[in-house]
Amino acid sequence: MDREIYLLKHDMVAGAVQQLLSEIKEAMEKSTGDFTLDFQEVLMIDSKGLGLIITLNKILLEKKRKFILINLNDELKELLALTRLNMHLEIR
Amino acid sequence: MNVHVVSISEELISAPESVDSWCLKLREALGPLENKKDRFALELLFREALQNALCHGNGYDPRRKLRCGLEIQNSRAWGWVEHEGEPWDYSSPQVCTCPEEDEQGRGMEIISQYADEHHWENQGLKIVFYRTLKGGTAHG
Repeated sequence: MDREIYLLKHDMVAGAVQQLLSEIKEAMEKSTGDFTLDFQEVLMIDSKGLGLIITLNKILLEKKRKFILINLNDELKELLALTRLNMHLEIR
Repeated sequence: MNVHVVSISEELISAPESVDSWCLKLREALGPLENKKDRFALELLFREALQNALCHGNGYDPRRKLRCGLEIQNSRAWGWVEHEGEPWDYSSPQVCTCPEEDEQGRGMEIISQYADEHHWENQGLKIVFYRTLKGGTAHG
């Protein structure tokens, strides 16, 4: 089964979410198995970025594909915990 | 003695790009703060407050301006964001703990989580928020 790891090159913030959604969806459509977002280079996620993560999760859930987030720094992990999104996402 | 580490303010045009641009300038100004959590929290507070003001206040109207500023003195930070649009109805519930599955509606929840306190001024055109810095600064 195909596995895709998508390395984010931009913070997940309001001004970038439309472009990111389009690019990530394209990468999702080119693969079929688990889909992993790599946050190694991401320093900031705002509420619009959280919305994007939820949208991507819903798309993958509908296709019965696993959505995995990796390499989040401590601040981003805390943000996902404070907003309780960590309970719905697979974070490694 | 008071140690004034950061004092910045600016007028912005109502566009997401100007918010991004100012937040990157803010990130640079926050460099002297020792604690990564403080730097992250302050930038996130401004991103949420500016996005709210841009969207719900100015309605992305390019004729309307946004104004914002941050002061850090000793271990106390206070920031403000003001818009020229419709006054915010701050008498209505401001913080909704929205269902985790919802894709929007977290802005005020995030502001409440990352600021020690916040309030509205000028009939809801201006939000002011405070945060006590956890890790001090490189200067004091």
